[in-house]
Amino acid sequence: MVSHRLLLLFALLTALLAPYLLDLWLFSGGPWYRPFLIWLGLCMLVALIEQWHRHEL
Amino acid sequence: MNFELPQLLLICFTYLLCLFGAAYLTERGLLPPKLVRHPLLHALSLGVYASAWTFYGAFGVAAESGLLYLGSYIGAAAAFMLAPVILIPILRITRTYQLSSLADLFAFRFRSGGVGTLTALALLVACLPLLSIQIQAVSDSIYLLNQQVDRAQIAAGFCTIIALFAILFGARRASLRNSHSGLVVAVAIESIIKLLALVTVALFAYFGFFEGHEGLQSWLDANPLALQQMQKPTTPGGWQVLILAFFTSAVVMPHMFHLAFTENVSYESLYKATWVMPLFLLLMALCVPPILWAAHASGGMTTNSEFVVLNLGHTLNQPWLTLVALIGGLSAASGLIIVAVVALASMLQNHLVLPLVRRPEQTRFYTWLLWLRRFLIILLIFACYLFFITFGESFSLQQLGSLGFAAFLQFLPGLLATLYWPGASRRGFLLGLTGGFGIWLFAITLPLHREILQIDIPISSDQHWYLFVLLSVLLNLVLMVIGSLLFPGSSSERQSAEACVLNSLQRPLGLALPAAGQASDLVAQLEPRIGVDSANREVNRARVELNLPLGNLRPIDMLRLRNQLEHNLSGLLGPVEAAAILQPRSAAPSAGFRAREVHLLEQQLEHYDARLSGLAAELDQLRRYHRVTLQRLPIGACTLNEERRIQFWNSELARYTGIDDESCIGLRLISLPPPWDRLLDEFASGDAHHEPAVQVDINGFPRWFSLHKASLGHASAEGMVLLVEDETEYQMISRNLAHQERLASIGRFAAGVAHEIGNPVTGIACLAQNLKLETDTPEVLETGEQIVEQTERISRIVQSLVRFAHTGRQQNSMLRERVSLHECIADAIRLVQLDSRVRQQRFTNSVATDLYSYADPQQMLQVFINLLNNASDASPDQGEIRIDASSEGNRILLSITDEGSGIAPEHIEHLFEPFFTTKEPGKGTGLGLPLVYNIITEHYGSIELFSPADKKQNNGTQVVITLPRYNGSSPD
Repeated sequence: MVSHRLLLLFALLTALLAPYLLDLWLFSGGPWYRPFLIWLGLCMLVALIEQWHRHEL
Repeated sequence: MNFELPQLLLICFTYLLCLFGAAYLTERGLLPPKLVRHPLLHALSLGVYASAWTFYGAFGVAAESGLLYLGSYIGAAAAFMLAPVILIPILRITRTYQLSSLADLFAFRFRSGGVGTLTALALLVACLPLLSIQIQAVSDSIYLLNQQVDRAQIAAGFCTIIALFAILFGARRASLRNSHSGLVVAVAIESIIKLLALVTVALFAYFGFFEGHEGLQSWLDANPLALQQMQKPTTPGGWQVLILAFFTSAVVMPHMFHLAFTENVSYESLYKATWVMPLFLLLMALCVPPILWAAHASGGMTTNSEFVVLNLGHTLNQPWLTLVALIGGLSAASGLIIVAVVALASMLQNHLVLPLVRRPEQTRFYTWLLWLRRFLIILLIFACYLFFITFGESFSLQQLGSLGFAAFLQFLPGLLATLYWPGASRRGFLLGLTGGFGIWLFAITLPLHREILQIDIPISSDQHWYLFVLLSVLLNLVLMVIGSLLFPGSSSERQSAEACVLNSLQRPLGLALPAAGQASDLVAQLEPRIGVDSANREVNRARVELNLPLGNLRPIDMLRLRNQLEHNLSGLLGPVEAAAILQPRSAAPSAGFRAREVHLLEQQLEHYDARLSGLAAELDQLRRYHRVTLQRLPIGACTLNEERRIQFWNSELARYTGIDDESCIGLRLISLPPPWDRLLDEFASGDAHHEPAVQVDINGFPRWFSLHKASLGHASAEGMVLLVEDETEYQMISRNLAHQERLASIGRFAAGVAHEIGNPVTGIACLAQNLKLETDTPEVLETGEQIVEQTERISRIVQSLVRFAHTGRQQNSMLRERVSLHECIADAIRLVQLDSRVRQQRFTNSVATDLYSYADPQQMLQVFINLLNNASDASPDQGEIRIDASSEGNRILLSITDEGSGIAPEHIEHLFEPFFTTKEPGKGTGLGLPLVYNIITEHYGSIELFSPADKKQNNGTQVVITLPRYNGSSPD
């Protein structure tokens, strides 16, 4: 329940900060592939969390 | 760009044939099961999300609005990343309650067929543009490669093949929850193919055309407008709405729901999808800019920018690249349309056809169901084709896609309410969905309104699309909240809502216990709807799954069977139909906690432990502690509900009664086997709260139990707790002690009497002896002789009294040695046979010669002489007396059986009391058996009498003695 609450809080914060986060992510200049690199980092983070979850089980 | 038509058709058919082959091999079990069931494969099948709209349409959006095209990828990636809070809970509900579609889920959550029907219809309307896009993409792409072909004909051919595939691999079994592994494998392969196709084109553009990073960078430096066009900021509100729409679509679109939940075999695949799918979508999205820029640079950008990926091969003079892109587009379109049509067909079957159409008589139910679904598949594909023919010409892929995805957003409030708000009601949901969908329909038909109403509306649905979408969702949400607050749901709806909410218990619904009955009662209930054969098959299947016996079932088992049946039928007919068929004829009133079956609740909690955290986990630990305390209580305890049905039965009570908790939970007390039925039921119904030492005969042995009861008070109406205390040991000890005390007091009395009588008797005997010397008168001498004889008799009695009094006082000095029981009994027989009458009787000594006890040999001899004398006295002249022995562990069981008249039952319990005798006056002192009893108990043995020994002839007595066995060392 605690982990779900944290995720919900995370989702709410993401929804509130979405415009700023999107601007920061996609339109803050830099090389064209930068958004994709950030996305890849996020995927790796989620994969790590999933691995950790599997060990927990 | 012109490819030969046969060449194109050959490529498309070969590809689709390969797909058929993969699905066929899977269904035939020719692919390794480990591969077919691998979570990664299932996670990849979710790549069906990347449809033709993503494959082709994304280029159109990117060319027009830059990075806005990422909205569809980011929204879906977010949905998969948040799987633990969105997808996993939905999977939990759909698996537990056998739900196969979003309409099933909402119909179950809101306990309403109407909700299911409206959801199915709304999904159908939302899906038609999306499915039409797939047909349009395939026909347009082939048309681009060969302008001589007719688009409608290509679409018709494509639809026919897809319908065939969907029927062959998506509607193989009647049950919706049965896994179609062939379909899943084919879709996963399609995901890989479309990704590989796009990556191949992108790699060629990047390395082949731009010659790597530097080439691309220098082109971008030379054409800054291209990068600016890509990175131009868009309306912030539009972004959010777009992401939210795709986020919702990734969960609620029929094909996504079908693959993520209905065809899913494990939670593991969804956990894997949390990173596999975002990575998959990232790769797909990453391919777009290089391809688009390569098209720009090579001058391949046409007005139809959606098909830039197809044109690139032609522009760069690389026909193979075009064919790779064509295969990619074909796989993207065919995967989605196949799964979506299968999913929609089952949804329409459950929520539109089954409530309206009855099964025709003389038709096998499963066959009818299967053919119904196949017919619906054909009908749906035909409808998509018609939609494409009618509207496909006038709208672009991008426009049609936006329409569909915005419609799926209307299901977000209902989905969130299902997972997080048990207060949402059926009417609230219906109001919200109708309102939201109404706005959506108004928006898409806005141009039509302008024409019909002849008024100038200052907004256009193309420019302000996100405003319309936002407005429709907000209205949906507000109407749902207001509707739910104004019209709260019924109790059954509330139960379903609680079952769906995150972290809720998944207990069976409708917990009121039915009456006891038989499985055939349920068959009779099902038979009018699904036919007698199918009803028998379903009931038997559920009965076997629960390991229930044939014949009469207890109420609790009837409830379990009913729930299992509803569970199974839900996978066949959907939750609404299943619940309607199994609706009890007389609905029991719901009564909150009172009517709840506590043990069912506990069973659910037992399976739920791992998911509890925080306060809930602490409370659960407390519950477990109390439960273990009650379970391990060294006193029998059971609780009853207001109907006197057993709710709890602890292990000590199970030990007393030999009835385990599994077999008695839910029973009334009177249904327990005797003697517990009357004992407990009468006590539970009586006024007394305590009943001390009630004697009960169990297997012929007396046992004593003290009973206590207390009401459970307000918490459970008239429920009560019963405590059963085993007092048998205490009763035996106290009775033994009383007997010992009586023997001891008699012993003391006997010793005193012997002492007081012994002296005068000795004096009388001496005087009588002297009398012989003082007279020669024969009469006097005879009188003296008689006096001596009588005094000798008195002396014998006194001696036996003294012997009796002395037993039990010499424990410490008692001689103990190895005694051969065979020899000891043989000696006793010899001594007993000195009597002439006894000589005619037959003594059979069957005691084994190697059986030894650790005892005082003289006392043992006395025991056997006494017992054999008694047996001899009771036996007829030619009677047989048998002595047998056997050993059990460290004990010897020795029996002496005669063929005498036996002992009256009322005398048996007095036999070991001193001075009690059944012999004629003067023949017995009544001290023999008490003496034997004392000697045996001093040797740590026991003695019991059974009469009649021969129950057929109703005669004889058997004395059974247990003695410690000598094992080579003296027992301490």
